[in-house]
Amino acid sequence: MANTDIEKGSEHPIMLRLKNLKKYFPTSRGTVKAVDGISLNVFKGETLALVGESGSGKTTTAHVILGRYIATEGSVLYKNIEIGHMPLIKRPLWLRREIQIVFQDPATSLNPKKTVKDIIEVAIKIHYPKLSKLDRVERLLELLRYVGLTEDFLFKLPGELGGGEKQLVALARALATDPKFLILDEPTSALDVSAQSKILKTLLNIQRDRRLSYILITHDLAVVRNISHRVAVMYLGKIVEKAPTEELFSNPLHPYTRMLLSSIPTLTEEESKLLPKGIESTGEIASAINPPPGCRFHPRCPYAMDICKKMEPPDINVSKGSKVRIVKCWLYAEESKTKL
Amino acid sequence: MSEASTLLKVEDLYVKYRSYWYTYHVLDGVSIRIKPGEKVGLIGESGAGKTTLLKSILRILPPQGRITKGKILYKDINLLRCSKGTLLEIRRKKVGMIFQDPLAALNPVFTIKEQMVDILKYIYKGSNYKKSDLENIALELLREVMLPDPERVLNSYPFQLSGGMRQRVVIAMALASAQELLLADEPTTNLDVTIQAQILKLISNLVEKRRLSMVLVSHALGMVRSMTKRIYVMYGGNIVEEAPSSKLFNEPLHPYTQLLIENAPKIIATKLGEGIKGNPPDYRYPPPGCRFHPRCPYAMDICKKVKPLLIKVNNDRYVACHLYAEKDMIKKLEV
Repeated sequence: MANTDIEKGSEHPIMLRLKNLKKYFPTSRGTVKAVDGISLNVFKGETLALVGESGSGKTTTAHVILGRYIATEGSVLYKNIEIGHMPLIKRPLWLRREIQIVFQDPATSLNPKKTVKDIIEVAIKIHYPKLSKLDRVERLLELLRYVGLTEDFLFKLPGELGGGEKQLVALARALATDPKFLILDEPTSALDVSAQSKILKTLLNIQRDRRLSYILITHDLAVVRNISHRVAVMYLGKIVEKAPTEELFSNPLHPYTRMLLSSIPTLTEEESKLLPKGIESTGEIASAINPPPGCRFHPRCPYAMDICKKMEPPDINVSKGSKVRIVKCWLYAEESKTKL
Repeated sequence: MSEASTLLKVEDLYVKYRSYWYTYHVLDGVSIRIKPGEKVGLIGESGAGKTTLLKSILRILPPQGRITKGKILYKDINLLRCSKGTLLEIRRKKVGMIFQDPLAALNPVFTIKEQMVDILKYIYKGSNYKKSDLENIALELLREVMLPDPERVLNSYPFQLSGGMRQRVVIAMALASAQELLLADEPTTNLDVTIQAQILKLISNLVEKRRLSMVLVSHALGMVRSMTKRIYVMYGGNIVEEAPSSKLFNEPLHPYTQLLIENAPKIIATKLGEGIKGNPPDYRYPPPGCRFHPRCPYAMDICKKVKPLLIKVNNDRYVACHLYAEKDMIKKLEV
């Protein structure tokens, strides 16, 4: 379970800072504003969950951090170094080593013709060229055991493994370079229930062990509840709410967050009682080429007011004590509204 | 239960798939029954045989798949023995199926109109509907699934529609032939939670309105719980447990169901489960006895040899596990 003892403080330095990050894609039909001005911090040893529907810009954000896309505007600071405008090939080796990713579907992210040994060894070979062959294999075995696999897996092909085991191999490959920052792109959504909790548990153990920072991209809110410290909810390229996990689930503020939570199918009566009532899922996410004016959520929002259609809501700070909470919604802007 | 009150009954069904080298023994004596107007869920992990069971009912298994034993009774018609004409009649007028992946279920090079009219032509074969009549029926069906601007959808290609809209089109197509029974095979995979909630609501409203019976197949446990009255749990080509939806999740009986529910991530932050060790059975060489025994924490000697049958443990609960058979035997001995 996620422990929420991670709050701001000197012992948790900021690993990654996104400042007003924008990523636009020009197309023949107009500019797709996939990520449109988001700001967030990720601390050392923390899991930040990015949640939202498909098309909200979660994966684009991850790929900008990884260097697969170059930011259109704004900055990505990793350990206070600007990396947002640095394409992957121009990034120094140490940087590539430190930021790694685990992809959604291990069946497609692992080469089906290569054995587990080949798959993981390549990463070690590139990043630690000075290691002897023997040391390399030793390191490889260590990694396999670390994620809970045995040496029996060395010469197996991905096709011979179960879904959960494949994802563990993908995880071992990501860990091969000794990263400090791991992006998890829907790490369990392609897996069956019986394999999911194994992966989540392994991820938690690794984080505790190595003080890794995670960005967890997912739309499975139950997974978020179980392993993340803080949550950022995205909608159409904007972050609409940022909150510590427990706070978000016990008291969701933004109408979109409430809609997301009320849509979760639950297993027990106890669970259904926790979900927000009185908000029903309607409509679909709009196109990122021509987003609605004002608040981008207003066409689906049951509380939409006139101002929502005209002006984009500002980030409103509703923090209580040390728990930082930000919501982008006019409903919480009584004072600022009167000022306007 | 009397025969008259059963709409669909599958009895002791065995299905095998054959490839060049191997035979895959998938369904291993599956029995289910559905009463008229009943909503039944079928849960289990991928590869448990859920889709195979649904496809066997409509007799649309791929050519490698063969039903080797068993009975499928639709009312009093045995679908495995009946004439081709009767079978087609049932597919056309009685039973509709929502397929798993809406992108794969729709043909990318035809418009929705062409595809729907094609289906309707087949369904209303023999009647003298004109093409414009069929188009009107298609339009009506699209309205029924609450698609905004159905005229535009009718003239679109599948790629021009969003995932949720495509799923609604697929549901409309299933409704065209579903007069009595709707088979829904993972109707919400690949959809976002918010859209999933909308689609589920739509399906339950339609089922209610048309007084259909429904079989809902999914591995999303919570979803099945909210949509059905009774649930069958499948593992490795067997039904391992049957229970009312309200009771299954509070008090699972079969060790597999227990582990499955324990390991499902929940929004109440409880401890994460350990996962179920091992992998699903290899259908080429399924384990003898109970197919779950290699992964079962309570496995006994008998589990490795004798296949447990689905036995009644309570008024409305059935489980296929030797743990419960033994208790029964002990009770009998005491009496």
